[in-house]
Amino acid sequence: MSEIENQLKKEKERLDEVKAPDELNERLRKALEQTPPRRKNKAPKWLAVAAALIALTFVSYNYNAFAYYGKKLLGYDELMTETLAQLNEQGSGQAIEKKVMLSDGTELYLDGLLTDENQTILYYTVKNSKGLLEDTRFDVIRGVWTKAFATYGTFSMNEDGTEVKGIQGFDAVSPFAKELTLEFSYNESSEQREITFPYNPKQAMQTELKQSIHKKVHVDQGTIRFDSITATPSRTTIKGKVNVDNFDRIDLGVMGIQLLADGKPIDWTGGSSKSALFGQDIEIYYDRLPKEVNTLEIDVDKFVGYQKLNETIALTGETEQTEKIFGKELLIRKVEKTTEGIQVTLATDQNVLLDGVSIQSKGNSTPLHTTLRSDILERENGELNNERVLLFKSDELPETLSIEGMHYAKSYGNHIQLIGKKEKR
Amino acid sequence: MKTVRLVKKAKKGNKEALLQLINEQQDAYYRLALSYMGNPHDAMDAMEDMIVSLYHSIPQLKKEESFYSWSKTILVNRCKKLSQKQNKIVLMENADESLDEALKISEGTNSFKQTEQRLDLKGMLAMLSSDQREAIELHYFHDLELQAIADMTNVPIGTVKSRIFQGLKKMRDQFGGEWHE
Repeated sequence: MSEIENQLKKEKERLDEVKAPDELNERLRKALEQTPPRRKNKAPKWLAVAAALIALTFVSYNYNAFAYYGKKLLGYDELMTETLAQLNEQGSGQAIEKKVMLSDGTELYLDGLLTDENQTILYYTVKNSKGLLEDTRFDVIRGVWTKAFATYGTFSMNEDGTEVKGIQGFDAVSPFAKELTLEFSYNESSEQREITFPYNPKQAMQTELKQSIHKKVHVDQGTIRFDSITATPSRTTIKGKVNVDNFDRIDLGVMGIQLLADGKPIDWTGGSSKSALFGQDIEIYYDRLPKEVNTLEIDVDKFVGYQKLNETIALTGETEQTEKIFGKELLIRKVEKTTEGIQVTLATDQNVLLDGVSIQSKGNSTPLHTTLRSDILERENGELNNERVLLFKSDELPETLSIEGMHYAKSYGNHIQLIGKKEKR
Repeated sequence: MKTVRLVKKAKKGNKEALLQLINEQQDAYYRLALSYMGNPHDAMDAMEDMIVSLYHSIPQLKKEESFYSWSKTILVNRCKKLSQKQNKIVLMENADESLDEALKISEGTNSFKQTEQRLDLKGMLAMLSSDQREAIELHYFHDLELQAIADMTNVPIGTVKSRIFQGLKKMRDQFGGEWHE
């Protein structure tokens, strides 16, 4: 190294002493927080359309543009629910049979599409003989009056990692769409693509039952309103609205609302809730209705409720103190003094949230300051427990623990009759 | 590799990952910005510009592992644009004084000889053309690769090599005989 370079190196070592001001980090964070989220698709629209057109030209050259399938799709057996398997067996749905080549040589095949008023289901295959390294993510299906967002999906990969078969659900598409465009992204969203294919709305499966309900059920802290039921071959959907103050205090959601056909519950397959004006809009999903239904009813079996307790428990100071309050088990795992205050570790049934908890010592009551942790733990007997660590701003070990009330999964048992007489399909 | 993992996250729009990436080399970024902007205030402004710009353009970064040289290129471009906007020409020697300012606080024990040599070095750098000086400083003081410097200064890599070579040669020729250890 020359003398000059040596001097430059020394100077660098000296300059390296300069450190960024402490405020820099905060300023960068603020600058970034104020930045609006970036637009998803950076390329101009015409470019995407041009790309899709070119892709389409190749694709249509290789394939018959469109065919209905009266045959069943192969290879999806392990992914399909019983209902979907039956529909596939019957040849419901339509074939797409389109192929897209992705930048790294991976091929995406759109095999078939199953549509009805409740949802859209896409059957697809991804192949690459060199192995599949990146994920394909489906975003939305567009078309006339259609913007169907992806909902749930499931897939399985073969043993050598060269082929994935998958099922992807979307919202329902409009019966006026004659052509659908699927937007998807590949390789951590670095590749945004779309593919357009013809669609025949007449091939959509017929809705089997659709009726409005307009019934309300009163629960402890509000009301549940059921608006409509739509039963199609792929799913049964109940829509409604929840206006209940403590709806989200426990994790139960709408899981405890059952749909009974001839007295037997239909499998609950999912639910969603999104906030709306005065409450939450809810959708509850069940499996397909049986072929013949004599009676159909909604049963609010379990839903969040509130119980006033006003209980005071004497703390024994032992570990694992067990109490029963209102038939529910309460485990007091630990009461300890820390530098921050008094920490109390409690475990309850998964669907119980205590309300108005305070501790008392020497005649003084200290309300809950904050909850430090909340974990779902499995107990030896297989039951799920919710363990929470509560912090109280006090430095005296408490003699008693007071609880004003609790939110819990309450058995209501309200019934709404939807079909009382014999109904044939 | 941690960097690659963070870059992938940042590409998906994860702001926290981007912050963490910058954090890892925060001082290096700051020194680079300071050498162009001349004062801490403008240097931090340039870095704010940079992080916003990175957030929007990171999906276009093809090679995750070259995040740092790529982002520093963006920083230098932001610095140049900002100083143009402020309509002031920052000479590298002035900028170095700001680095010196920053140093004075941390550096208490500075022998007379060291100071003298430093003045020599600064005098020598001042003799160079601004292009040569920029290339040498980026390479030796900020540890940047030749390709990154080429990207920052918008010239082919060969030009960068020759600027550094010619610059060093000039320094040796002018002052070669005056070095006394």
